[in-house]
Amino acid sequence: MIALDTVLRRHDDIRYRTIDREAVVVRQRAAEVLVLNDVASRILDLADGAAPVGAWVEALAAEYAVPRAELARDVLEFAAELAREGLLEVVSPATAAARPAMVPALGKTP
Amino acid sequence: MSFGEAFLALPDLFPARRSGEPWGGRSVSLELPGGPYQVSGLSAAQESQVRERFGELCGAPAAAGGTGGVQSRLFAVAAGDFREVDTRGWEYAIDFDHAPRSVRCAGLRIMARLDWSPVLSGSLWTCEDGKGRAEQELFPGIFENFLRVLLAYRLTELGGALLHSAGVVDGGQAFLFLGASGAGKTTLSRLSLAAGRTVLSDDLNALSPLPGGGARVDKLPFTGDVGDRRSGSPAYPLRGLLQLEKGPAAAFRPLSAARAAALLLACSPFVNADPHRRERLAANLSGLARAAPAGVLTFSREGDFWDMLRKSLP
Repeated sequence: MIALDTVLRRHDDIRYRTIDREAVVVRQRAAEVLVLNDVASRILDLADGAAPVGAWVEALAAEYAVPRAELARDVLEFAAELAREGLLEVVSPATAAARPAMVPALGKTP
Repeated sequence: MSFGEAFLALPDLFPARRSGEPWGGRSVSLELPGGPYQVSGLSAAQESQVRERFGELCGAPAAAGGTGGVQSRLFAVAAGDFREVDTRGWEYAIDFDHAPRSVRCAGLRIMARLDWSPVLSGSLWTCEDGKGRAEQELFPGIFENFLRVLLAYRLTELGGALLHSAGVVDGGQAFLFLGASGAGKTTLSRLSLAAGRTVLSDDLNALSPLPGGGARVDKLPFTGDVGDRRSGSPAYPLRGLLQLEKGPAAAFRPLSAARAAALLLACSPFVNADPHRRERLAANLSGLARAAPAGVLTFSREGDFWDMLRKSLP
């Protein structure tokens, strides 16, 4: 479960590049390419293995005009999805109950 | 399965460096993007076959052994070095082993390596098939497959890429239609040819950056069913990058630069599977994806999509 105090980092296997706010992500071992939207791309940037998810919400609150609670819910959902996709991995698990995550769409190319 | 096991009798004895017994003393020089590509160590018959296959792309013999471009050598090995492969229903494949300063390749009667020491050079080892048929039947295909890999890496180090694509010229500008096997590259090429356009290749084309911005498309002698291997062509400015989809009617929807870059990366053979050079390739493609408008083209066998495409592209 991912909560606001969870710490995540980008998986060693991925390489990514941001183009016009979207991220082109390569999974090295699978040689698979994904494209992430702007929010997911920013989450990849923020997933440095040091700052907890709550700090990402604070950083993104300065960039998106979205109510804080809504932003926190969206960030938790994206983080959970990126972790399920194997793009992020947990460094330090949550100590509080995590929200249930929904599944946002990740664009895949052939 | 470890590297080379499917094709080589003794994979551990894969040549560790660029050495061996040349087939002969002949050379050819191929005028292709990133070249010239100079290959030495050919027999007279092999030289003749290369000239027959690649026609006017073969430069003057005097150019061979010169400086610049990419130097490669051809070596002979015993047929017993290769495993017999049952090719019935087999899809052509090459086994790769990537390292920071080299790439090793093993395939059907082919061992090859690319070395950066520090400049790129190639080595190709092949054999007769035990019935004396190698030079008549197998060598041109083996040579071309080696050349495809060599060009992919050479174009990457020059800032470009080799792309699985159909390249079509319309109004003096080139469109690249991208997609995996079965996406419709050959069908679209035939339709375009029938509509009076020039088809560069329905299989592999070279995309490179232009110094002042934009990109150029170069014809390559690597074709599927449409295009010719024997003649040269001027480079054309890139007009559009299109991902192919088959559908009931012609349609176009734009692609973001990130999705275009991802598409290009997915369609860059050989190098996109190389963990040591994929980053360089991705950097190249990030720039090239912005060089022209990109989109998804839906087309059918019946409809003419060209008018729609010209009107749709910004």
